[in-house]
Amino acid sequence: MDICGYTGRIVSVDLSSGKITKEELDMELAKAFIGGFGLSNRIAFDLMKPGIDSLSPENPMIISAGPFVGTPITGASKVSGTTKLPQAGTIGTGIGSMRFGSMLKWAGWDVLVITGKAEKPVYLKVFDDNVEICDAGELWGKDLYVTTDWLWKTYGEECSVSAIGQAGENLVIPSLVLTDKIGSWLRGGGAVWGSKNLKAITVRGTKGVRIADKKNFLKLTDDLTERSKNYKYRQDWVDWGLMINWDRFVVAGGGFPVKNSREMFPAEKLDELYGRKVINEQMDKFPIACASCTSSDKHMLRMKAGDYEGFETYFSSIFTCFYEAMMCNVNYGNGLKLHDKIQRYGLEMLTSNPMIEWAIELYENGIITKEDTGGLELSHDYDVVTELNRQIAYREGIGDILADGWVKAVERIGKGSESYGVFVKGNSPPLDFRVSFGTDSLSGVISPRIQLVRGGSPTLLSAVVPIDLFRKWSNKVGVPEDIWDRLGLKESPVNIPRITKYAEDWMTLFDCLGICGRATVNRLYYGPTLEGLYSTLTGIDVSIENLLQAGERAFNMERVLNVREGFNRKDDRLPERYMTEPLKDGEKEVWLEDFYRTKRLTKDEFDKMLDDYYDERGWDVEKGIPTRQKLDELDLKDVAIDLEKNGFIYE
Amino acid sequence: METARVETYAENCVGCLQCQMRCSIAFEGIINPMKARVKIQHPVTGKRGITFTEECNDCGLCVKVCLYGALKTKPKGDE
Repeated sequence: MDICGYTGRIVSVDLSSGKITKEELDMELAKAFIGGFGLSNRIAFDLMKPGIDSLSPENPMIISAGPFVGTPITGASKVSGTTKLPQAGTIGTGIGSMRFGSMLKWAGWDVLVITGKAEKPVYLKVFDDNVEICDAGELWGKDLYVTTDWLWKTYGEECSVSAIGQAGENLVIPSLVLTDKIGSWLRGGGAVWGSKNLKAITVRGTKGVRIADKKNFLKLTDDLTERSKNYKYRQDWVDWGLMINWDRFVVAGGGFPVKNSREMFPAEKLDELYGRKVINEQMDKFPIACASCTSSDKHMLRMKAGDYEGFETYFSSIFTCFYEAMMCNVNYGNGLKLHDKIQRYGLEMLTSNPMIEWAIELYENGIITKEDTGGLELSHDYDVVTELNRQIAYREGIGDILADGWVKAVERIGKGSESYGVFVKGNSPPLDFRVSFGTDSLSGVISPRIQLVRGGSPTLLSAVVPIDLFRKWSNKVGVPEDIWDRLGLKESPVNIPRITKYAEDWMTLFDCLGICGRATVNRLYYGPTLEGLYSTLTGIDVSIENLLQAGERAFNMERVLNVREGFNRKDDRLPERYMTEPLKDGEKEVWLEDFYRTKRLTKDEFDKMLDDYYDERGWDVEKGIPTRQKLDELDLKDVAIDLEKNGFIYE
Repeated sequence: METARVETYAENCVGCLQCQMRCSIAFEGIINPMKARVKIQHPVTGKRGITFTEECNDCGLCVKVCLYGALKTKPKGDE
């Protein structure tokens, strides 16, 4: 029988030798790890030698699109990119989108592995079986949008393009890859591509993906589309993306953290300057969707009037459209202009912006001076922040230090600068944990790349969650009822660390299948839907229990990869500022507290949370490492033997 | 198959490719947008456009799956 859902093929490109190897995918491995995130992490385990330098040719970039990608299953566009990240040396997986994963599947590939380093700048062309390393001399030094436009002009706009900007080329750690100009992919990955002299990958597929049982597959797909269509907030999501929560969480929540996580930008002023009304008055919004998405939430924004009339740029999430404007206290026109520059450089703004705020605070406190900055007086002034972004992208002046990312930058500056920095494993938290500490925040601390969506449960962006909602959600994600007592699901409060495990396994499954984790999409899915879609698409019978176990297997695989690099409980730590300082909201002080806001999250309290979390995971509580028993239970015996041989587990 | 005249509103297209995927399943038997009878210019490229190949038989399947109002059925009698 023909392989369905999957393409059954892997292509490996060695940029050092120029050798391109095409192989069949081991379908047993595919079934065990589903695809996407699971498969790329399993391949990383076999391919990646522990202890390598993230920016060396030895670091592979493993790209994998799950079985649902390239099909009309709503939200199934996600592509995994697994590599050793330069921020702190963890092994992490960026989840990309737009058309890249779908095109890869239509071109006939489940997995694309890139190793080595090209002698000169190159881009990679993947057009069906025609996989070619091409000279990128003309593109090196060009910004990310120019690069993307050039590839579209050369090969046609139906191609998907993932590219880096000057930041990635210059091995700037807070850098990323953008797909089709808009889909952010892999924080830190820009530098990994840059270290390989890899400027871009363009993909076009004309082979397609087969369906095993077309009639029943389409029935399930149609049901999903219908559910999406009938969701009462669907149009609001399309119009506003994550800004749908503006009034409820930002305005009612007291504003937005600024000044290096010291204070809130006041809610009233935030709404007056950057709220939804202002956006409507000043900009035209153009929604853009990833392949297959029936409730898009990416946007191109265009200024309607003023100095920047007609100026347009792209936002992976519209929720970030006010960040730069708010940071510098300027209008939207200037804010968008700066955002556009950051995108073109390929800077990873969720880390580069906080690092700039950190540098400004260090300057205010005399820890760095004019001598360190080449005379530049650091402040939140728009021109200064614009210049700092340029200096980071080109590694000039003080920008060279910030370009090294959190871990190296605090070392280079020294003088106690670390205690001013807010980061976990080299990444800035996308949301301030003091505002709310739910399953998402805890999962971010455990994660090798502070990915909050992975721990998404009803606590994400919600300050209060009634127990009934937790119960409903627990039923959906397959939490067995016989353990509800232990999880606090029978009587409040819910045990947040324990329930985090189930959120992660559910969301990891989505990353394996290739479905988007955003709430508007994943809310449509239930266990039987996933079972049915997988079976009718691939022709492989599966139960939701099998699928959830595969999610857990993939999650443990990622942890094992990081254990091999020396990461464990000691690294699952909160930023010092969160533990020792409140977020100032006018006269009010917002301290780090448990989700129910009953007590301060002291080091001891947080340690208790970790104990519960590791225990629920079946990991060694003292070390935060999967046990032999857990790995055996997940059919990862060879992985356990490897860890045992190398002295990481012993039982 | 029921036939329907299709009107296009390219300004509403978000580039989800649902129309192309479903068209290719119906006529090619596999999911393969490049073989679809409906062609779109992806809005992320800054251009917008929806056209149909000569093989398109106005079946209206693409209209059914477009949730963004980029494809609509022409009202009956409006020829």
